[in-house]
Amino acid sequence: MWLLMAMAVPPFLAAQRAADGYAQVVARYRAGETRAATALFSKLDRDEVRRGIADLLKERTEAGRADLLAAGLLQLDSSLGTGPGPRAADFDRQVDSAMRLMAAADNLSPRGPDLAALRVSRAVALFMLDDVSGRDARHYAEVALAKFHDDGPLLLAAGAACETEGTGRWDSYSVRGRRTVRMLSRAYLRDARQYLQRASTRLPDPSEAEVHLAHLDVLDNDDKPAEARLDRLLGRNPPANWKYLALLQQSEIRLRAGEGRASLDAIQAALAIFPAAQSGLVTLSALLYQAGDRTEGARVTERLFARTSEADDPWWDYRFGHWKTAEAWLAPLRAEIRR
Amino acid sequence: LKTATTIVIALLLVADAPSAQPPAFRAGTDAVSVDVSVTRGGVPVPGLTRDDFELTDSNVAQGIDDVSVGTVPLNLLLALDVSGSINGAQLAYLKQAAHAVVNRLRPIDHVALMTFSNVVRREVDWSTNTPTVHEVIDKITGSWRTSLYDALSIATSMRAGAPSGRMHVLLVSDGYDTTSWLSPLVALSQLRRSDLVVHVVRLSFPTDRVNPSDLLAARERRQLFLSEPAVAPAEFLPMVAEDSGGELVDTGNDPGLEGICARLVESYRFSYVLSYAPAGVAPHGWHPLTVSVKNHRGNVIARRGYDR
Repeated sequence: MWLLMAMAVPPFLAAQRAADGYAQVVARYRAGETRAATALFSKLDRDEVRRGIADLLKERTEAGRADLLAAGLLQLDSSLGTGPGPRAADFDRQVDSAMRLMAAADNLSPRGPDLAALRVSRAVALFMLDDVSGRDARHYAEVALAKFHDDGPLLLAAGAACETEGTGRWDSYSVRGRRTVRMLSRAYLRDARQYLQRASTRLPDPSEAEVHLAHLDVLDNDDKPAEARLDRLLGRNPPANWKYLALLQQSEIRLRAGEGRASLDAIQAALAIFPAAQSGLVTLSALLYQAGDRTEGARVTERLFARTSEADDPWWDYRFGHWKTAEAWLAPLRAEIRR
Repeated sequence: LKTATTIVIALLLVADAPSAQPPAFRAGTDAVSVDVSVTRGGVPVPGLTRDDFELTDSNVAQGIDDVSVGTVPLNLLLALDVSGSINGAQLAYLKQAAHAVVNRLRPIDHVALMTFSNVVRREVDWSTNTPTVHEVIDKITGSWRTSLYDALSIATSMRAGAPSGRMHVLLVSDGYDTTSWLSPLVALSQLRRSDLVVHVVRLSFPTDRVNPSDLLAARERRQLFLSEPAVAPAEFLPMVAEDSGGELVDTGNDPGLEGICARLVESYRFSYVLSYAPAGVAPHGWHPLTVSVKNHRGNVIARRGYDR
């Protein structure tokens, strides 16, 4: 019955209805019905979406910019898991569509260096990175860097992606496999350093790049440059999360140098900034334990168990909190489509 | 920012010899207690006395002052990996296993429950109130990443608050850490300075992916882990079990988990505790231990040594 009815509709009319369906979904997304729009979008036929996007791309007036942005964001939300739902199997194709929509929006109304396509490129790389997908993150960052040369946030994302790959918890149980792991790891870390060094000269606040670079120094057993870098960074009074991570790292370096007291001082200073951070508490407890003060170490562990704000740890953000920065890049675009 | 203290700790661990470091361990007593499991065909061997055991500390034969079995209360810390990789049916099997373990404890035994994803939580402090523990087990939910190394460090520091008697840890995990701050070598070093016995149930170990002829020998794997833990993270759990005198069991996330965990606790409830006052050995550093049973065939498991 349905088949007969469908056959009765002339093809040009069916195409028009499909495009209307897509347009309605985009309109609902613009109106703030993000969850419902994303759910509806996932049910649309691929051709339906393709025709709808083609219609949007025909738009030539500035009034169409918000629809293009909304369509692009909708595509991102439904493909990358940035909105409701997990990452789509064809996320790469959908990200490409989103990028075309953003570029079209920029063409309608250029905003100088604050391009929607650039914001989305940065966000995509960071979302990938957050999903422990260093390789994908690096790919997207490098593709975007070919277009937006020397963009600081993209260089930072590429560097962090290489670092994630280089320090990934891969494993192999064979001799050959482990040689390969070691070789790849070193190559990734070398690339990470190059990207991060470029990023630190391009970013208005290089704190994040500097903390990453210090980490790379430590991984290379190069404590002196790491310490000098961290001292310089701490002298500039960086944002709280980077200050915390710099102090945590300084504590480790001083321990390696046999300066137990200085190591404890650094970790205490870090905990003064984020008193409930697990990374700081577990380090302090372990330091005390190793120094023979097991009772005090156990007391610190009790502090850890008693904390109420468990998620407040800059170390976890360093590893897997990139979505927060990614979302910050998208926030102005999300605000713009609601206006 | 990881593995920062790796070199210092690796040197301590690799040496397996008296450490050149100044003493950092302050023991309350000179006596050393060693948990020893003696089994034959997987069944505990009963009735052994101190005359049946031979023990060396730093290659020096030691006189055993006391052997106790069964009567010593067991403080069991259940440390369960509830990260995102363990969910749905797997989490249900994990809970069943935890219930089975608690059911096998005696009134004199204490149990504590710790879970870890990226967050390490003490769900139940040391208690003999098993109904409460069962209730808490039922409420466990899974989440996010894994802080395995941090969890082991925290488990070790829980020793100070444990009731008197020996402390065993039953650690159930797939072994892959993603969010710990501490390096695995720091956690391992801390463990070696304690008297904890850690039994490890390793979930979903992919032994079938590798051609056995291409596998590294155990000794090579150990050395590789100690020099470059980042390229051999799968060695962490075997070393935790081996160094602490616990057992390592590989299994899937399946109903068999319950039986494995229950068997482990059952057998270690009947392990022997040997006590001796070390004689003729260095006061500090790494002390390798060997324990054997005279005139008895069987499998003897004890910690590889201790650090003080």
